[in-house]
Amino acid sequence: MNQEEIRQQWERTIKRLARWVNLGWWLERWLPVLMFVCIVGGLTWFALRTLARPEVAWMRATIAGLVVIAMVIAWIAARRRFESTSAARVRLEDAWQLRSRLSAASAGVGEWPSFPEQQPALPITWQWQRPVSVLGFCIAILCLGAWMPVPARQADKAHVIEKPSALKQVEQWVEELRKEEAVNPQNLAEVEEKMEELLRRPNEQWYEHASLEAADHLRDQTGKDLQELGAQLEQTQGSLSTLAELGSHLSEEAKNGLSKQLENQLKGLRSGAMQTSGDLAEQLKNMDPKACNGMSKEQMQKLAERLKQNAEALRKALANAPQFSFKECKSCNKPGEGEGDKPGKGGANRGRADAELTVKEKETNLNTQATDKLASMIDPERVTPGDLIGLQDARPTTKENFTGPQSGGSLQSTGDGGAAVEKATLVPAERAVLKRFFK
Amino acid sequence: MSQELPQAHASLHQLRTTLQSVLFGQEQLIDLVLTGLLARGHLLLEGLPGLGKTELVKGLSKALGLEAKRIQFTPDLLPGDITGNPMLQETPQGRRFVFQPGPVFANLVLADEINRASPKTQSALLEAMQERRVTVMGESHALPEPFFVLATQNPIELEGTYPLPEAQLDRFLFKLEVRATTAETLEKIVLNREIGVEPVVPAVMNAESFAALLQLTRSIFMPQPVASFIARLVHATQPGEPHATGVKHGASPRAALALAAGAKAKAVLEGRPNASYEDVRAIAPAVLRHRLILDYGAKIEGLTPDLVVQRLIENIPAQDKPLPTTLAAAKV
Repeated sequence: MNQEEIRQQWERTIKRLARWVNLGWWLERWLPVLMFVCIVGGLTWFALRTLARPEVAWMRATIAGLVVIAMVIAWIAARRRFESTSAARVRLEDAWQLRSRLSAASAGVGEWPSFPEQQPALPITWQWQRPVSVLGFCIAILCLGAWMPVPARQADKAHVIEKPSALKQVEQWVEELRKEEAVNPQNLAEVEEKMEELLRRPNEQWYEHASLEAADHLRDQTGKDLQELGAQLEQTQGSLSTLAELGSHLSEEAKNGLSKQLENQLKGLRSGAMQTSGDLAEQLKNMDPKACNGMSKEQMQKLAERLKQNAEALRKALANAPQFSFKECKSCNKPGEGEGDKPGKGGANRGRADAELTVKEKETNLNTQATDKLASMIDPERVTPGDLIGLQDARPTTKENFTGPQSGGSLQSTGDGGAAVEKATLVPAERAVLKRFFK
Repeated sequence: MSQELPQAHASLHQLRTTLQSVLFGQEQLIDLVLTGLLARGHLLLEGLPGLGKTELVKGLSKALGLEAKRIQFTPDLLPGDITGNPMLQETPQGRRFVFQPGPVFANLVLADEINRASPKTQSALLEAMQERRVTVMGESHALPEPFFVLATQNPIELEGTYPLPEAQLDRFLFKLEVRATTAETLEKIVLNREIGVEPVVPAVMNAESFAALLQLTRSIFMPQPVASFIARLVHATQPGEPHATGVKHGASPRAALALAAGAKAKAVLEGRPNASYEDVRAIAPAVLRHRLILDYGAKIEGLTPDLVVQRLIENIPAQDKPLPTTLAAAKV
């Protein structure tokens, strides 16, 4: 074996030693990071399984990726401490008692010592306890995270946030209305768009005060619009039926009044926030409200029938909302309210108001028990000290017959400065005792 | 160097064998003495009387073919008795002082029982050791080349001794302890020696060949890791270092130079072209033991410089880079 072969043999041995030492340094840096990754990964895995989140499917790949990243980071961190071949050469020649001949030979002084036929072991021993225990711990915690049984109650419970009840209610209305074709689909689409706008916010914010208030408002507004539509449909249908049935028997004045009322109702149907659907909407749109008087009896009955059908469909669709009563249409009663002897609601300061001259199944609700609400937006049940409920301009009331300051009482037992003052504070029984004593 | 080294190794082996025939049972001491000479250092041999110190020096001078002189130090010895004195002589030009060289003018000076002389006389010799010249009445006289002082001293606990100051001790390359021989060695001495009869020592080499050996020693390669090891070893002797507990004053840079020179000499003695960690470890006690000054606490506890050096050798690794905790160093 020539010197070059011997040199190569020594260099290989030296590099092998350096590689083992560097592996040790890399393990020393990697194991703590690996432990951290496995603890966090195992706990996260278990938590996701407990919450039945869909991200659990990605956990294996995520943990594997983090472990690989930890390997790279550990290699970068350990590189500073990696052993060079010259350092490994010193370690080897000292341990094998080569009397620095490797260093000298690598510097070109002297020959490379002959390589031993039976190569001794490298001058390092592995301390396997720590790496093995860390790896075992990591595997154990990952296994626990992946396979530890999750309580069934928690596993089945999907992490779903229910929509606010107001929106669910509106959603149900819209579905029923669309099914019954009671309302113009465009109006329903607008309502749905508003709902989607509210639901586009993060789930966690659905139950915030502002969101709930907006949902309630949407529900109330939609309900109010539907209520108005229903009321207008019924009233229009009633007016048309009356006009068709009794048109020939009514006086000209009553007929004109009824025609005027019908005209207003038709205008209301066309201009309301919710409108009828299909052909009826087209018919109402193309119809001149002033020309109602000129309609034949059959035409009126046919239109009334269609309006009735639509009102029925609307009532059917809103069967689950008993709070809506179509007869409570306030806006449609506004014209002529309390004026002269026209139908409407009466009042103490509005004079006479007769009941409507229409025949209905139920009596007219005049809302005599209705109370006015506070104009303020503040909920009086939740008002706190300091909240401003309202402002009112007022003048201080002055006392017209003010006569100046007057005495408000008199002093008893006044005395001069330094004089003894007797205060008659004794009760009658005590006075009697004193009188008896000094008698 | 490749051709000179085997020859040097052979002649040194012969010299070693010759000296071993003079001084029985002191192979290690002989090796250290030869190492010290090759490193061009002065040696201090300490031991009880009768252990063969003087015999070794005399045998060495004969074997090396160098001029050797012996000075027996006594309390009344004066500096001029060592360095030489100016003598008033009648010359053709009239009366004038002529320098008469003292016994220090030799290649090999045996300063026997150096600690029996007064400090003034000791310092005269030590100045000659350092400067390798003697100055008398303003005139300098160079000492011959090579110049070695092999001083012997009795243990300082003995009466009538003047211990050498630390600064002067530092000028000795090695301090060697001559220990009592074993019974087998004594038996060999009894069988082969007689009182009053000096052993016949053949000359193994002459002054020129010895000078060539000294030159060869200087050319020995000192690998950088070995130099680093020497530096760390010497630095570790400083007070406050983890393995220097009980040390009051550590070794000087001269100790590091002495270690390097000694390691090279040891390499020549073993026929190697380079110094090694093993060489440094082998000569470290001889180099460091007289350069470490321990505090009183350490002395009371029984700590000696040799124990401190041994502790340093055991704890200062050749490779100072640590191993990861997953690995442990293993001696093969």
